[in-house]
Amino acid sequence: MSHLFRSLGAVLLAAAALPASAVYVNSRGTGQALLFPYYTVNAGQQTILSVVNTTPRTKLAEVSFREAYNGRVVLRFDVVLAPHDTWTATTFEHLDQNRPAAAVGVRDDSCTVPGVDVWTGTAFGAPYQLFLPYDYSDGNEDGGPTGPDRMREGYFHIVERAELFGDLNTAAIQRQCGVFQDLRAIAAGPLTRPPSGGLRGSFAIVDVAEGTLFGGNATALEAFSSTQLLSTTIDPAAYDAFASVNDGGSAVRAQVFVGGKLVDLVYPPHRAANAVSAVLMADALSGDVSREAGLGSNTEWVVTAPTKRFHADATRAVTQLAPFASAFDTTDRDASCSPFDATLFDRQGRTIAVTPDPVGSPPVSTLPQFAFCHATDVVSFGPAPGVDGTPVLGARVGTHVGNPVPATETGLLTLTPVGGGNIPRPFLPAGSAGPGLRGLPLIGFEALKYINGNVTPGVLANYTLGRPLNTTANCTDTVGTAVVCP
Amino acid sequence: MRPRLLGLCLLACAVAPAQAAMFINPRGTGQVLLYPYYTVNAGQQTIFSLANTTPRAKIVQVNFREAYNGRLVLRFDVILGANDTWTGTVFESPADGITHLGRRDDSCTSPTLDAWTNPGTANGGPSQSFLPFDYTGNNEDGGPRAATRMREGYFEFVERAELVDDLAVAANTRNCNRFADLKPIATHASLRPPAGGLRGSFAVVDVAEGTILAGNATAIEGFSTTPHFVPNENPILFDAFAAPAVAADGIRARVPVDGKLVEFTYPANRKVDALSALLMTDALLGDVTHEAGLGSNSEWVISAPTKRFHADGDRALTQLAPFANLFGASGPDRACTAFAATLHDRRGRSVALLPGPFLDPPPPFEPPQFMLCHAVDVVAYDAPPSLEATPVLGSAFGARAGEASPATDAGSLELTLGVIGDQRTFLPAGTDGPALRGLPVIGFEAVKYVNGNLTPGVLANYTLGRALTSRAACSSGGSAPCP
Repeated sequence: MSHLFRSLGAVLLAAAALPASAVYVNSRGTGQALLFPYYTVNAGQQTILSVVNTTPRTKLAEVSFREAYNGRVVLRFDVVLAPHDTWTATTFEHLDQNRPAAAVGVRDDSCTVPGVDVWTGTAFGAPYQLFLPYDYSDGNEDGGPTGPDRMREGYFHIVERAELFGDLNTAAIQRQCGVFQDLRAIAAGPLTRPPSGGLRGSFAIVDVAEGTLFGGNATALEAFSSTQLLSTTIDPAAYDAFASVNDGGSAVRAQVFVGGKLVDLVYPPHRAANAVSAVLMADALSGDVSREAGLGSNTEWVVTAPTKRFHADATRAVTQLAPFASAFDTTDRDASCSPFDATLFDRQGRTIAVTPDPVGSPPVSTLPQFAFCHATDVVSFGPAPGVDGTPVLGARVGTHVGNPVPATETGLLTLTPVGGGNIPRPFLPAGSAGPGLRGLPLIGFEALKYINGNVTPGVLANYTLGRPLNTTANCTDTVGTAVVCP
Repeated sequence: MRPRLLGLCLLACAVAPAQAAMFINPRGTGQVLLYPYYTVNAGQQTIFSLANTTPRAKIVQVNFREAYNGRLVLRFDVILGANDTWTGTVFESPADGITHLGRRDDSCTSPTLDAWTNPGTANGGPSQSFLPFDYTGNNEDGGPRAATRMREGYFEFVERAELVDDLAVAANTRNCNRFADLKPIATHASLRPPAGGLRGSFAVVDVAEGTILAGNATAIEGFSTTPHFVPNENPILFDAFAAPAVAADGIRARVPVDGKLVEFTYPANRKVDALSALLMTDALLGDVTHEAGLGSNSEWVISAPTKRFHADGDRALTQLAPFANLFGASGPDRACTAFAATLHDRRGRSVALLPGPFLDPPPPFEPPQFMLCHAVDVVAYDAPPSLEATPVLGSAFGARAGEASPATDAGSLELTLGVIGDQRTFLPAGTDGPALRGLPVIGFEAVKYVNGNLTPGVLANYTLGRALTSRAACSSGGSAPCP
């Protein structure tokens, strides 16, 4: 199996295409590209995911798991979804040569490419594939850690490559999986059509022993591509479908909800990836936080930047660094930090100061505290993370926003990306039409856990919930100053 | 609170200058927040929050509506200071067994706290009981008249205006008496148009069972460009949600349909159709599970916040379509529109969902099958034919989507909404844009697993609330072609 994934050192493509409409986040939850903010195998947890083809047409979709530091690929393969097919999988910890390692297992017979017959093996009666470190080791080092622990948490995305019909449709329905193993030949054949959306995705982070479950839906991007995202020459494992947004012409368009308006944006071909960043741009993230001793509650926010690698992966970037502040492992070791301001309001709307941890308090880290430093960060608000990671998710990446003064148990928290140097606020530079957008391209969710020992004597009840974070956006002029959107 | 004020009607609303199109904001903030569900059934409470993410004070109308017909059971205003959060709990009062709204912070309300049913802290207070006046006495609608009608429903929050100067100071300093009477405020110079930035969340909690089902409110942006007050009219009689701002050329809504953001325009006399357009759903899509080994059950809460505009008999503000029946027309306490259900197992194989069994005599709590009959319905997957209360939420508004044949533990369910024989219902086209197929709904999936095989001392009820996904589709029944 591993040789099939060895060509993961990414090759990014810009596909020529036919006219289509502009990429946007679909509030209804279906689309061509699905962005999942988190997977983890830490602290005994598993991450269950599902992707559903809600259409009566067969779809080929690329699945990419990416590690949290720099968004490097830890597993990429394709899944073939027959009409109305559901594909489910689970990331879990599995022993590899007596060391715990991250893996994905399937309990589903939808065809995959490579097929499950060449996956690592069988665990708990189902095929599984270990995550693979080749994209950050073995000649692909990026300055970050090179050990297998780097693969224990991250994010993933699923991108529709094409629709399949004729004999390929039949093969998908009948699970004749051998038919799909040469995707270059399929790309050259007559039985593919451009993607048309209608995928939906969901995820849940489960700790069976603790009785906890955090769930959510994938962020769905519609009108992502008007051409099939397959090549007759490039190994599909090396084809970065998520980097191949297009609307068929020489430029790429995006439609973004800003304030009460829908703003149209156009980017030239060499900045195509900016269209995806644009639809995710967040001037501020807001959500609830709770750390009530009486309720045993703790909140963490998972904040993921799925397009950060396009801007900030020093050797792989496909466009300008902005809106990020530094490339990975340049200014910050093992990281690329963009600072934020944290503003907490109690339930009365009073501003509560939140200050960084005192120097020397655990955990020891050289990274700035109030900053998004990775592709995925877990921001914790309760006790400072210890050797087992953050209190709720057991995360090892992220930062701590604690120490409210005066002490405050619940409130509304807003994280506002701020700039460095002469740039007060980060912004995505304008394209060939439309304004710039302030902030960073982020998605995320709130994970809240209550531990109640007072329900029934001798019974410990854990209540958990996951809820999307809300965001606001703002237009800017050419130097990043907020302006009224056109 | 002043109960007489709640026996009310819907009002014709203010005309306003030009505005951009309304849309559902995928970022989750807006001028209007739609919460799909509240319940006090089965020992549950519903907690919710309303947050002002802006540095500007706002006044927001709060409307709780019961599940049968969307009649009002509580309306008041909350005044949010800058960056203020207002939280509350809907619960069954231990004192009177009636559904109450409990207040959990000191944001100002109008009427002020001294006028609430229970201004003290006993019995879960301060709290205000829900009130039946909008479906009893002169306001009967043919549905039940008992207080139990208020035990579940949905709620909507609508930003009326932003506040500046002395009103903003009063909001921020909790000088709540300033807002005790909103009539003079309706024409106050310190009002500004609503500008959005509200966000909301909810959670249905069962403390004893250790379960929590949560989600975010659906947020509508671009709702209005003028304050929601009518001079010389009592603000509590004003139905703010029925009053999106209309421009000279009509009111616009932007809806994602088949890979495009399509703009629709409706004339002023059909302004509420623009709200329905935002919510129009050809099909609802989600997962279902009923696995004995996992002790799992799935239910879908499906709310139709604009149904009352179409189907509440003498209160309707526009045509009946896309609904099929007025309230009371298909039964004394219902307004049913059929749906079709399609189940696919995890392999994508189609699984038949068969009606029945039709028992004679019918069981005592026979739920409707393949029908959405209320303002809130709870479709319980693989539920028994007698359904006094749904397995997860304990809802009295259970509906069935047939029986899977062959029996299927889990799969992907699709409900095609608005079916009449071989025809589909649709929201008629306005002045621009096509008709839209289906029904205007929002909803979420509630899943519960009960695991008795865990570590001793751990109560293992896993619950999960997740928004349903949906598909919009234009209809050939419209005068304009699909774009």
